[in-house]
Amino acid sequence: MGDEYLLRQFERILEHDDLLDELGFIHPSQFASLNEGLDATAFEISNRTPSDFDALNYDETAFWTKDHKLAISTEILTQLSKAARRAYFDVRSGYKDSISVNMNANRSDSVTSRGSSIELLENNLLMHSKAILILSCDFLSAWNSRKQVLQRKCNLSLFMDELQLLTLILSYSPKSECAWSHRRWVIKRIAEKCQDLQEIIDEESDLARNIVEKSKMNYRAWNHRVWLTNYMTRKQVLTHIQILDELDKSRKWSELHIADSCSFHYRGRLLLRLLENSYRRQEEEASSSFMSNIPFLWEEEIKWNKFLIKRFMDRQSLWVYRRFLIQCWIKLFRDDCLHARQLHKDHQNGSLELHTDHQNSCVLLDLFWAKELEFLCECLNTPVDEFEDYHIQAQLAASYMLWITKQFPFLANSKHQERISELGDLKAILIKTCPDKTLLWRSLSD
Amino acid sequence: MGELEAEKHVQYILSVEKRKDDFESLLMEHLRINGAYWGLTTLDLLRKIEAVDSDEVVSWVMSCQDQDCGGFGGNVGHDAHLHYTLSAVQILLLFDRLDILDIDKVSDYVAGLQNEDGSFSGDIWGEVDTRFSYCAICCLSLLHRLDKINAEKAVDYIVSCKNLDGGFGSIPGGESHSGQIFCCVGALAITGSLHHVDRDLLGWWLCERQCKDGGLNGRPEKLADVCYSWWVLSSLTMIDRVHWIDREKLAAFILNCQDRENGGISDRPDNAVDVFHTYFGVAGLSLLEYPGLKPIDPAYALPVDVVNRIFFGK
Ligand SMILES: [Zn+2]
Repeated sequence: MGDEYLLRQFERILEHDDLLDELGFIHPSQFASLNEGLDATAFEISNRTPSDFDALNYDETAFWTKDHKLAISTEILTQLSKAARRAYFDVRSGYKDSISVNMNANRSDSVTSRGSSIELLENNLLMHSKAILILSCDFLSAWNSRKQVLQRKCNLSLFMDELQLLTLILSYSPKSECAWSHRRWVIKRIAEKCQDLQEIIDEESDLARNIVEKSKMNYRAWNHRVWLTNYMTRKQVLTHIQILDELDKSRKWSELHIADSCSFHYRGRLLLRLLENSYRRQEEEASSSFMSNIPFLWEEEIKWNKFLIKRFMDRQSLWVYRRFLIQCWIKLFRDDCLHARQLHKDHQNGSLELHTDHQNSCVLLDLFWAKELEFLCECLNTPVDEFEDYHIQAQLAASYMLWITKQFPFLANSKHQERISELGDLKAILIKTCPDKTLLWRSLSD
Repeated sequence: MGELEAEKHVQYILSVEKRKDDFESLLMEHLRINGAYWGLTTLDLLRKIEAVDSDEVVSWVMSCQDQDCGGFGGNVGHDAHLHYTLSAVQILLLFDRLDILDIDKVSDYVAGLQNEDGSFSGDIWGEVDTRFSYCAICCLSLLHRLDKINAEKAVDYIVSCKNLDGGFGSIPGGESHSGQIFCCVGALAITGSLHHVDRDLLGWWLCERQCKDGGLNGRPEKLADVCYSWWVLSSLTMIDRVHWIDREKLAAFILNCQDRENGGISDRPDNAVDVFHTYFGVAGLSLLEYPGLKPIDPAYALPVDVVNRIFFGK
């Protein structure tokens, strides 16, 4: 059978069903089992009009489609890809020529006829590039051609359709850099045209949640969420309430996916975003009830992290997150504390009553660190020889303690000396529990 | 632990170059120029680059250039992008054939992609990523045209992507990732700005990437993968902390990922090989000073003799 014929069938299927939500590449011998699977659930989905698909003729050894699901035979992928590429490059060069001719044209009558031929070329370009991208989602030029056409048409509903195509492709290629990047481009265009971005924020949130559920520790998907938070904050459409809401929703998820470091990084970003916003607010208005909430949130997060560490014993992701949380927390206190000492020097004879908050910080920091040391003692003094996970826990705790005191040397001296010596010889513990990193532990000796 | 199957890897790379018709090579078609850079650099590190016809490669590379904008596409007739442009320039340098290039045209294309805040877009469509900062800075430095951009702002932007753990992400607030760290540290090294890096802090993070099996991973809780041998190791080399990891165990891990029968290196032991991981495996071994291999420059990702020729005319 001719390649062009196959491509036409493929493109007609895509045109016919613009609500495809699942797509797979399988061996044609498995097509039969797809039918069986569907018959069992036929009653639940029978309220669709079956005639839609009956009207569509296609080679049943090449494609299988029903109920917005499409399977493509692995046997025809090479043929189909080649045909799609040929068709795409043909129409693409025709389109480029037409656009440049159109730009130079003066006579209005020829412009109208060219206009309609451009319209045709654009539709073909969208159709063939879609066929290519469904088969190989990192084909950069095809995404770019779509951008070019969409930008010229500049139609909100086309942009929304594009998001839907991306959702389909990302559902089976969740790590496609080109697809994620194209998605950001589309969102930026929508933001230019549309005031109410709430729908977009919700949709992106849902999409990312679905994808990270199936594709663990997906850097690109989580990065997209970070990007969206940055972008929507710049656009001033992301409110504190929404960030709090997002924190709340992602908490349960993180508990169920304890090894996914990305999700903790994301929570950390949201918390930092709140902190930054609150500083900005503080400058604007003298007092804000919101501001007083942030230390509380931060403390809750630290407590929650401790709870998870105790429960899961041996997870690096949790300790990495603790480093981040404690590092920020101590920085906050320390800056306040140093500030107070500086003020004290500057105004030896002046009133200090205004700055009791800062002095409190010094006291709180001490209390806080004492509690932290107690917790570490607990992790380190569990019976190290007994179980593997105690072993790992001791190693993670010792490495954490070394790390944090290297960041903040002032924590290692002064009044906590006694408690710190109770922790034992951290380097010896590390060399014993994690001998493969001995070179690192040794070089940290000062 | 077994030896490096150098001869078999050479054969493997030469065979991939010829294969064009299966679906797997179709999937690589749009980034063929990156593939060519990985394969050819591997051959050069193995001291076998003369096994390819340099005129043929150079004229093919030149046919990937977009005559309008000056940048290079991933293959003939494809759209230009910074990543492909860097690979094109690197390939021409491997063959010492920069003479064929209109250097100002290419470097104007690259410099034109710098944004107001110092960051770089990958192409005209505006996606920003610290990887593109590296592509631009590395490319312009190799062409002796760093003066065409605002390097200070470029550095500021990279620094704005630094995290509290000492690592770097792809955008401000992006999670630290070994690949992104290589790009950021590489760009800072090239612009003489490594003082922005906390070497002990980042060195610690990078050391924690070494797994029990000796291999390196890209982020906490991930499996080791040969490609990170390059990204983590080159970063450690640039910040002078490479002695913090167990180099012997790492070399053993890489050697264990070889296909001893048909050549090539895979991401993990017993997986299918590809050019990408073959390059990163050999490049990693080169940084580990494996006998017989040419030394590689950790920032420019080219053999040291090629880099010396560019900067010292040797
Ligand atoms: Zn890899």
